[in-house]
Amino acid sequence: MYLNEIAQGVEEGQAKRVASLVSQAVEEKTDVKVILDSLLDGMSKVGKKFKNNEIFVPEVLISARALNYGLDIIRPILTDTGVKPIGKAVIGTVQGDLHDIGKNLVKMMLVGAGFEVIDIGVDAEAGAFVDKACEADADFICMSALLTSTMAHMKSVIDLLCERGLRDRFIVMIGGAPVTARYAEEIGADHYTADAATAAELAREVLGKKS
Amino acid sequence: MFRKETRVPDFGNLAAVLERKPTERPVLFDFIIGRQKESMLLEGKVSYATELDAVITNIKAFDSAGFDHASIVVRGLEFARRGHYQTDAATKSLNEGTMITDRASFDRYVWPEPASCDFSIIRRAGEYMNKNVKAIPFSVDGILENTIGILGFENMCYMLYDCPDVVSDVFEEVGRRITDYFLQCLEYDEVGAVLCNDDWGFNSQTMFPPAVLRRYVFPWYREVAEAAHAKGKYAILHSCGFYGGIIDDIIDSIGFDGRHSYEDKITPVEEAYETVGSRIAVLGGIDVDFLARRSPEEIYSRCRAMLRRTRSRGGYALGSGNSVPDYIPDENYKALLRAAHEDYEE
Repeated sequence: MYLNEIAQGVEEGQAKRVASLVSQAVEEKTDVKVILDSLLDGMSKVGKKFKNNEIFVPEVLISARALNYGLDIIRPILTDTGVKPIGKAVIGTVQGDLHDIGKNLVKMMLVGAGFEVIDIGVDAEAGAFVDKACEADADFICMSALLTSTMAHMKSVIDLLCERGLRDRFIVMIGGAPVTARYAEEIGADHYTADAATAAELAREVLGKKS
Repeated sequence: MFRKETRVPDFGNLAAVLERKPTERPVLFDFIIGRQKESMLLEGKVSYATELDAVITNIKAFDSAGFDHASIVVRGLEFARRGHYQTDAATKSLNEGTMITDRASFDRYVWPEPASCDFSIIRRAGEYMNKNVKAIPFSVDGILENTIGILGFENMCYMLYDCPDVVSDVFEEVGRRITDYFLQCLEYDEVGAVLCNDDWGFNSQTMFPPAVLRRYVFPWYREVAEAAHAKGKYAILHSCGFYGGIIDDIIDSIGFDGRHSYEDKITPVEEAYETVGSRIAVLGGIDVDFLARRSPEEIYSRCRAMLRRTRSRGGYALGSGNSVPDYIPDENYKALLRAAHEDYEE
């Protein structure tokens, strides 16, 4: 009975209300997968509105905060019951670049789409992307850059993957202000997306095709 | 001297652009040129030993490049922030400056005062400018940028919901000071226009809902633009990012005469000129990534095409889409300047 309200709470960014509803649902022994789907459903609606410019980053952030309030409650149960994320992504801003707003938005959207996201932060060296992706057995490596002068480091990560014979093991997605589909093609990345919501949508789609 | 001696600098050319009138020769506009580029323009004869030396170097570099103005920033109104925001780092996170998170930290924050700025540097700078050249002052970041810098972007997003009164008060403190800064700059005869530099957008939307900008940011700039116009001067906006939802505010509500900063991924300058060029002067716009990664021939060709497109209708000055950072190859920047130095007819 709380499931629609949970989704609505996420959509409206009502963190405390979401936490309360999720706790109530857990107490009533609601299937944790159903609770998770309600949370993700709310965030999915947020992603669509964001993509259509109906809402802005502040609204996305408070929705993501509400989502996390709910996820924090059910995470131990998800682990205990063996419910796995739909995929894993390693995300970071490339070497020499400290910008993190775009990266954080993509992270929020990926989490909201059901992914486990390992955030290696900003100014991340090529080796950090590759090592963490191997360690986490990730599906995706997601890279962000805001400057023309730093986006060249995206290629360094791809070069390192090739050098270590790992290029086919990971799906490489890139984004950021100066980055384009043409640039993704030039450096051999698998995908470029223009915004965070599209990145999450595409990740789901690509994983669906892969499996 | 990079420009030809026959290209005589005259602010009247830029004024004509800002009034959206055709000009007799191509006009250049930019407001930030990297130090290595200044050195290139001045054949290494640069000095940054004092604030005045840096201003003089900037004036000479703008003169050599062929601008009809020189940009200037009066130091002293730097808002305290944390982390890389305290340096001139090329890359900064909008999240790392956080100084205010609640009412208590707001109360502790020490605000800079415009009174501590030495505005007389504008008069001293004027002594080094060509007779008909005017200064265009800008501030160390704008009202939204400084507010984000003090609050941190994501923290500010949450605070808009959790403690909106504190956010409102920060905007008030910043807005009043930046406005005062520009009003004082406008008192100087050496000043022909002010440039309000304040990034408002990401690639696909504004950083905050337009309603937030309308409430907390735009009224201050309206005051600046009105003051500029009252003195027969001009107000220019430099603002990066998506502007689709706020262009009517920029033109009609605030009353900016010109807008600088265009990115090919958002709105190529050619498209911007066709859509808003009849309502506001379009300044610069040759995408920085294009300038950095294309050949000099491609850059020259695009610049000349832009000048051909705008010649008869006016309201356009050639320049970069944002600024002229040092990572743009010298030959590429020279190609842009060369395009502006040739007459329309050539």
